[in-house]
Amino acid sequence: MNYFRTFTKGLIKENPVLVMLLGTCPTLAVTTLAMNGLGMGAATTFVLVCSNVVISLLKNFIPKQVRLPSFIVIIAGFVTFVSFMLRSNFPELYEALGVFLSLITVNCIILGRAEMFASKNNVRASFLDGLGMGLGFTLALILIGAIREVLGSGTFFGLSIGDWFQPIGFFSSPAGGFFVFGCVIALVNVLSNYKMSSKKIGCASCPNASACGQAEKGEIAE
Amino acid sequence: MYKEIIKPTLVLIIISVLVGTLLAVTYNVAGIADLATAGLSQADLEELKPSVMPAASSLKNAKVSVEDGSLLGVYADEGGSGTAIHIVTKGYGGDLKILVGVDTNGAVTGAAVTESAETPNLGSKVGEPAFIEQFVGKSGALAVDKDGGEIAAVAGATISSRAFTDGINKALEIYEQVKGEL
Repeated sequence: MNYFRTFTKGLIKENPVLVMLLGTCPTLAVTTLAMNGLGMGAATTFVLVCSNVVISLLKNFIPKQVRLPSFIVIIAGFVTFVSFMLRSNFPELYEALGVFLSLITVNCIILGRAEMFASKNNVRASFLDGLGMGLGFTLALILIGAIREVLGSGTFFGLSIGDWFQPIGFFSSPAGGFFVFGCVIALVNVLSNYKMSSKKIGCASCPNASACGQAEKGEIAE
Repeated sequence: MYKEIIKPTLVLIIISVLVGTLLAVTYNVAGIADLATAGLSQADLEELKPSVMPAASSLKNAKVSVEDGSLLGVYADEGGSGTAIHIVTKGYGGDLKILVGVDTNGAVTGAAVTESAETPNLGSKVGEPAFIEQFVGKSGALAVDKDGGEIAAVAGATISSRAFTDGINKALEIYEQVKGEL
């Protein structure tokens, strides 16, 4: 197992938001400001790293029949912990994230990594996987948040970029969120998978191939 | 039998109890209960003042000896025009918190909803001026029209209207108890 690769794959190559298209709901909902994207990303990264480590430690203790409810209880526990901490220490961020904070529990990135990675790998690899995926999620949210904030509100992390720029309200709206999301996905595809069209298209070239049982069997969809 | 049913059940129970216990500890350490019942900040009071007690100069937290489950806080006007009483009552969707302004004659000067879980655009309308204006200048026991009173309930939201009216009555009642201490 190459630990460095385990960490870096979440940043671009298997980026949970921009390549695997998981966690789209919080991505679109909180990214009207770059700061909210950073807060949401940090909270999710914390939960992801902690749940990955705990689930990896408990993987032999949890019977497979109750594996999903157990994972959800553990994840929900960490999410509640984070929301308590934010509420007492950062009440403004707590207000801004609103219901999406508790919805981290059902963020499919976290359950996805628990099921696909942490329940099959050792603690160190699971920690690095969680950290990499979390940072990938955070970077994607900051990027989308920054673009929407600059174009939609004329500020960057709350600092005005000057009076010469007339903010375009569209980018703060949900439709603008989808628009920016699509553009960023296209950009990442150009940067990372540009040569994929020359490869044979099939399960093996899917970003989830390393964690998917079907791809390992060598079954390639034509 | 053991491997298929009992063991998975036990494991899930152990995990749930453990997580629940740890969260209970965190809840107390982080002081969430105190945050939930904390009084209104000075900034909140400034914002609420025009609708609760327009004549007041500055509302300040006042300590009173009255113990009541529905009383959240008492704020006296430094200018002496009256007292604002923060009250919690049971609404349709959950707790309904109201700040009620009472003048020195025991009549309502205004009110504002500080926290509500009422149905948006239906029960939530009890927080709008059109409904609240009916209480201004009133005192004594008030009731909504359905209960034979003079307050016109918000259409389709009798329970929320009744809860709000109960809150006002409770605030007036508490004012009578605390006015000697102010």
